[in-house]
Amino acid sequence: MATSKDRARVAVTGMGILSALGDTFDEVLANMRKGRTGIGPVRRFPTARFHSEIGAELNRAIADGAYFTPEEREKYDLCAQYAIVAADQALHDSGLKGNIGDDRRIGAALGTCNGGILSLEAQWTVTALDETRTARYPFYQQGDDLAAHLGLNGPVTTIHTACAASGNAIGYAYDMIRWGHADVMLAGGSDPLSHSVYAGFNVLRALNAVPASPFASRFGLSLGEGAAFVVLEPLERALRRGATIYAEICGYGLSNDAYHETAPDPEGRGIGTAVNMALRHAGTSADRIGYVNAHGTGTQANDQAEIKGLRLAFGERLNELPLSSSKGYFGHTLGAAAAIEFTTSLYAIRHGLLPATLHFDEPRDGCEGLSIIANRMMEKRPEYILNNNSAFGGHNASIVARTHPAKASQDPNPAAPRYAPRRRIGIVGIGSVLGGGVGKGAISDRQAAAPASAKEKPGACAFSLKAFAPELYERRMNRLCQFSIGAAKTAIADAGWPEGREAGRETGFVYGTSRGSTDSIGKFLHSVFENGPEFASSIHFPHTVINSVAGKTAEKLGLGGFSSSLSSGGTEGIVAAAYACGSIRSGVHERFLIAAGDEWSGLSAGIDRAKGLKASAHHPLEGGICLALADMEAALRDGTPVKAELKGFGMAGGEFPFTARSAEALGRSIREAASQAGLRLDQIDGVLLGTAGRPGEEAAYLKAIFDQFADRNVLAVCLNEQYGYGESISSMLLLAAAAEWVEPGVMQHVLAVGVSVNGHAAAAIVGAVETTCE
Amino acid sequence: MKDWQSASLAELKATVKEKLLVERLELEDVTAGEIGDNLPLFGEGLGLDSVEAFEIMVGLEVVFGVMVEGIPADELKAHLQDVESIARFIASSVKARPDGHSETA
Repeated sequence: MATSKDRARVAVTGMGILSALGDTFDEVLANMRKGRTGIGPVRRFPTARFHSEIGAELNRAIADGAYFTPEEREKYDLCAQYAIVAADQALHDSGLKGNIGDDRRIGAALGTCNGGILSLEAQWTVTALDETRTARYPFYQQGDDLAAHLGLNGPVTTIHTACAASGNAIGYAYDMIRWGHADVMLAGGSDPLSHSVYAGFNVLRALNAVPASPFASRFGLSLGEGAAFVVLEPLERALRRGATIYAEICGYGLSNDAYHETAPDPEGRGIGTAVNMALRHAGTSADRIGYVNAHGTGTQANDQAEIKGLRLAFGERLNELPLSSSKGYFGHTLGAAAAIEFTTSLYAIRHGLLPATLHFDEPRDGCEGLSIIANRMMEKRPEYILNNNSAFGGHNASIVARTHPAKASQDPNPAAPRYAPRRRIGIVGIGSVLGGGVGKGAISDRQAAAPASAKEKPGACAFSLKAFAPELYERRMNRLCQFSIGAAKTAIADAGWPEGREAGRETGFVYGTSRGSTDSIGKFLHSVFENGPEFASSIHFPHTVINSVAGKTAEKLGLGGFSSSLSSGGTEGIVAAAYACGSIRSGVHERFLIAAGDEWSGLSAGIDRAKGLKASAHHPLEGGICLALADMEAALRDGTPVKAELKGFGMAGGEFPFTARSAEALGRSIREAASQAGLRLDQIDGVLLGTAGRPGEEAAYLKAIFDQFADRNVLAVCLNEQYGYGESISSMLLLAAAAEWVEPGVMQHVLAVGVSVNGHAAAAIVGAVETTCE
Repeated sequence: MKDWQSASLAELKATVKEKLLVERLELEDVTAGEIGDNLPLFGEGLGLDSVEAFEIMVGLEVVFGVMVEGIPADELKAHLQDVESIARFIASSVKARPDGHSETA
């Protein structure tokens, strides 16, 4: 049950790592002390025709080690394998392995930049895909495989904000504990070195021919690989059980540059926003930070912009603040970067040392006058540190952590904003892009999902942003971006919110997509596979990271505030809503947009086959849906009409095919949502269900729902029968439809339940708006 | 690959517009005929950005066999200014090839 306190403090009590410098922290630290780099010749694939031939690979013995059975190696992409090894190590380190207790909920948040892309590379085709390897590819599959392997029962999410992903994942996991959705969370990141991703950075001329030297004279990055995980749990319980406490997570900040798909805002404004947000939520001031682990990739664009962004938060004090980039040790490990850099910094600090910036000669333009820890580790034990990362798609993530163990009774950061679980959240805008039309304020029109013309398949979306809002369209914009921008613009208009950068800076944005633009990903991989890696397509590469859709939407609509993008394989809408509502209750912003989208393509059809979705009882659905959410008091104050209230959420890990565990996950998510809403199940007037609709699935879940309601005859409808099934939008549709059910006031509370393709459940309770505000 | 050494400047310009720009960059909003020889390609004019510049660089190799490696950035920028400058750059590059039959003036 959710037992969130006003300010639950969260501790790091276990850590695991897999990196080019070793697979234990002792080994990694020993190498860091010697100033060793993990960057060396790439052995995994030929590099002779690239601009660089180096990278930071794991030792092969580690990568191909005896950790997995042959069946498991066949079942998991290397991304999931790395994640499992690091997460399992973290769990052992925490002392919780096999020792958590059956009543505890343990979940996972995995950050990754490229998901299971190696499983497509292994086939070297995007047109003749086999089912076994393709099933390993989706982004959410990485988090789900981790959860399945470790038998997790709590919320499971894959965060895919590219090179900021594991920073966001740690933040998300911290929230899951603070908000009472989990008792223990595994959070981190994983990305194996990918041939096609290497080819993409190569064509963008971003690779350094010699080992990367962040902030120094030679431009360019070195790619790396690996994984790192932390175990997070409430500080109070960690202290009680005498756990090792590596750090307390004090707060974090997310933002989007809203600038460009690959280039950072040269003024570093998005970075400044994320850092300031992290400091504010940590309840600490910039002058208490004693060390900054910077993103520092070494590229011309990143390092200067990052320093400018850090200056926005730290001012002149930045010059005296010890700062380094760990990319010289580990290479740029993309989605794993934040977690690898954060955990190794914490471990070094326990030994009184700060990581160094390797290969440093002299500062480049814009990086002068700083206290860069050059080449040799510095002896220091700072009390507070800041970990900073930025990504393609404009996403930024900053974490503030306190390295000294503190007594539970003494809150060192009393100024930190409190989580207000009773704060009420309303749905104030709906925008949908389905079939042939745009729905403002509603999606219930059955015609919405009807084909635009007789030639179209049912569920196809014929929306054109170029026709709808030509000023927001740009060349080659993939259809998923068009759907998402169209839906978000419509939701903003429906809410009566102003458009533009000023308002956008104060608007949070959480986007859910399980696959991203598979059309763009397919085009990029086709260029690599057919033309050769040295002729990779630069124009499609930026969209292989699937946060690019959220990034482009943020760019076009000026959404520079808190920003995240995630995959859960079928519950994205509800997970995004839970994340946004918790963030509003934590004082991040008063307004949030949550959106989800799906897009058909050849690659997408291959994934459907691999996931058994071709056997679904429902036709596929593509399009985009966005909801505008607001703090109720603020909405009422502004005179914004509120359609419905989002009252409670629950998320739980199950499995597919359907078993007793799947039923249990569904039941737990429902009870948790009701508990958070402060309701009994007999106060629920109706249930909306979303499932993939594979044979037997819908009937099994409907029965599991009825079991929850015991003998009561509750109205339960599977929404996919009306609209079809879109992996990411289906659960957002549930929320929008629930809002329409309660809006006339006949029903008071509607339960929306989504189940992912891998059997994880997410539930939300949508309530009618009470006419009098308490 | 076609032997571009014998191609006229007009033919090179037409191929640059059709193959290198419209097809390779998937320019849906403009036809080859609408791109003037001296229309600036980056910023104003055709409005291309740095990511598209890299696609043009790959295209020069794929379509014309012209390698741009080792050319200083400023010089390369001048070559990529418009269709005319690209065509002239291609012409001089293919003539300078070690396996070329061109006369040395």
